[in-house]
Amino acid sequence: MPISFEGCAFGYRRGTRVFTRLDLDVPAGRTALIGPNGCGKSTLLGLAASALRPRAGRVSYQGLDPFRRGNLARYRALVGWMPQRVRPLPGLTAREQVGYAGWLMGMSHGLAWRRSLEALEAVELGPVADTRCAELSGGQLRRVGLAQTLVHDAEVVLLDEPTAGLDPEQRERFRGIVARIGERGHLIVSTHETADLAETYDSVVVLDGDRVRYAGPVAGLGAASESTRKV
Amino acid sequence: MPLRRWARSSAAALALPVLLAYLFFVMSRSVDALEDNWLSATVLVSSAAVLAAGPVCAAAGAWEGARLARGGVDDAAAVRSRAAILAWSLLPVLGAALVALLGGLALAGVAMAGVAGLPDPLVLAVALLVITAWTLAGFAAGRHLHPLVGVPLLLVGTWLWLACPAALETFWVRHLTGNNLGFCCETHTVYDRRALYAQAVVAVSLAGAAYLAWSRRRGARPAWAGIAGLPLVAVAVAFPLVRDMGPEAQVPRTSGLACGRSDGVEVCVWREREKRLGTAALIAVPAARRLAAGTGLPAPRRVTEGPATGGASWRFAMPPGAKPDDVLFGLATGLLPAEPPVCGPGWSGADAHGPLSAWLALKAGAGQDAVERRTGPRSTGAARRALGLPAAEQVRWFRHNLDALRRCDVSPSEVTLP
Amino acid sequence: MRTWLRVHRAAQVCGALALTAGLVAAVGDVLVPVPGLAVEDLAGVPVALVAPLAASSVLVRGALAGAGGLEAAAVRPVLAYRTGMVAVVCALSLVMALVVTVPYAAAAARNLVGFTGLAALAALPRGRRRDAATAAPAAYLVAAMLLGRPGAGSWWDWPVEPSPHPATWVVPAACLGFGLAAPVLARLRPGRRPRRRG
Repeated sequence: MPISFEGCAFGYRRGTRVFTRLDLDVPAGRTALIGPNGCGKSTLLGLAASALRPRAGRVSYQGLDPFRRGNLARYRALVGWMPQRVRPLPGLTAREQVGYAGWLMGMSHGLAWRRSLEALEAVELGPVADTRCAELSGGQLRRVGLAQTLVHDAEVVLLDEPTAGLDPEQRERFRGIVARIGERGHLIVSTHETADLAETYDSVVVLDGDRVRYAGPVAGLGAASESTRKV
Repeated sequence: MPLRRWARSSAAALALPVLLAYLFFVMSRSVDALEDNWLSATVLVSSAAVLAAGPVCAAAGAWEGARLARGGVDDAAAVRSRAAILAWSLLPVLGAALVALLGGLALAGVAMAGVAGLPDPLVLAVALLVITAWTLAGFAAGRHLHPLVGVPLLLVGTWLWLACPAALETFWVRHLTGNNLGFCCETHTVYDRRALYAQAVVAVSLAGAAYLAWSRRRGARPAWAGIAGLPLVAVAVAFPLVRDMGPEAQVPRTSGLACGRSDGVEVCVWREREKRLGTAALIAVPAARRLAAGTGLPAPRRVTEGPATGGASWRFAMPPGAKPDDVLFGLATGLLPAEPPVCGPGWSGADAHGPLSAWLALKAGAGQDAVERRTGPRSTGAARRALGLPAAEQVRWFRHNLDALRRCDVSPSEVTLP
Repeated sequence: MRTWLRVHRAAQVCGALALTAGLVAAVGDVLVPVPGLAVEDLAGVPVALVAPLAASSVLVRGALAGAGGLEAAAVRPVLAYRTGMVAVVCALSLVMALVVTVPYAAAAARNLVGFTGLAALAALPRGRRRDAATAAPAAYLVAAMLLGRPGAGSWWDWPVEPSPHPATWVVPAACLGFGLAAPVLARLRPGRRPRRRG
């Protein structure tokens, strides 16, 4: 089942628009979301996470429009979102923060606490589970953010520039984790790294300004850009 | 960063209008009651500026401090020193305070038009120092407190520290704040510099402690010794300076007289009133002669607005707007003791004050109506009855009742009407 | 819920509330002289009327704290929790004012409600300006001190009104009501404008 954006319009301020009419279906599997800075990648992920509400049109997954009465909790339970900036919550350990994320996503306290360790181990942070988040490195904190999206077994995982600012080794490790997540369902990753798209992702969406330049298999991206260049 | 954007992005841009409005409100209440000397105007302006700018700048400092902390100043390996980084954020806020202070001075300048003299730079400097100290305290608080807590806490906390001591019976606290209650000084008094030094000591230590708290590097051992020790040292130094002061930090003025001679008597007025020296001489010298003749006291060689011994020099006052009767009344009552003796309960000497004041004022040549307005009909009646006595009896009556005002063992005589 | 309370600084909020209550009980009736335009001499404002500003600031800070992005997409009704936290603290202060016989207790509770309501209204626009929300009640307090006439029982200068006259409750209660209800109403209508992200 794809995640559908149907005629979505959105703007942060009155009179401005990030999207005037966005029509897009993101298929299952691993999808890279690429485009220049400010083109709306984070906004698109925010809309998909239902953290942002479109001014017009609708977003849906499995036929669920989150902003129709009674759908919001059901929709959100299916989605895990890692925003661009993962903030350490003062005083909480990595496990507590991930457990808190699980609790926010509707899990019971006990279940969230148990699952938090599993999520941290999935992102290779088991050894620092009891370390305060404020003491973790930038790369570790991003992986805590990733664990937050995994703790409640989301079908759709949305990652906003997860590897930005990481060193090559951390990036490689992150890529491995991302590959494993992608096998479970929907994974949409906004990224600027296009070097290894084919190895990591199944499909790609290219945003440019208010338009979707390309949406389809990674393999087709080269031909599409070739034809664009000819035009 | 372009200068305009730098200034506009600072909290000072928001603080300035608030600050100016508050300053105007505070000053507008008192500007009409200014004395005819620049010191009173300076103290009013500095008090209003401290009361208005202290809390607002502290709150702005808390905002800016939090901004710097959020901007990652702590973690950045900056080329500039921490003091320079602080200064760039501090300057617009202090600039706003300075603008407010200058605005206040301009307002006072309009009210003081025609009065000789200039604002006291030391009073203004201490006011700026106090404002700077509170702004730095705001920066220090802002580094550790979220603006949602830091801004209102600093705004109201600073304001309470500045305004509250005026309500306390413990007088010395009020002389440490820098607020000065908005008042000092009548022209015959000057500001007690000890209060000014105490305020400067407290402000410098607060600024020092705040800077230490702000500039501590993350992970470094806190300079608790300095942060806690500086205020303690300040109190230890400042407290003895202000311990014995009364409700107001003013002491008698000893310099700044303009003198001239009239009919063999030297007449001195405060230099701010030099233009009225001739008028003062015309009123005070003949009155002094009449008083000397009537009381049997030796005629004075000097009548002055400054310090007077009471023997060869007598004191009078000629404030702006004073009528001749007011001057005569001041000269006459200047012959009475300034303070009553410490006699305990049952002392009746005070009963003599009114009749003696009225009798002396009438002897000096003051109008009966003016005297009655000031002393009341009973005292004027008693004085009028004494004036009906033979001259020698009057002198005896005056001396006896003067003794009653000075001593505990003498009771007033014939000061009440039958 | 325990972690939610930790994240939203419930302990600090309780501490600030207890400290304010102690302050009101101990020195609440001490008058702070303030220059006012409407009165001849310095107007005296009891400390009890000013102290709730601190508790209100800590409460607002607690309510607005939290994991921004995470809570924005949460399944649990975090907005209701936040609203509930503020409402419970305000209700608690009212109960304390009714139970404890301390001068100005009711007026202090009213001011806590009013200051919190004003800050809640000021916090409605999102973004960095939200961090200055508590400056609004502080500025209102100072303005009321300058322009108000303590003891007159008028509706607008409630922060300096020592008596808990019913008329002085209108604005604080309305501010809190609107401040808490507005985000809920905004969620119900389409096209709410959230905080900007990259």
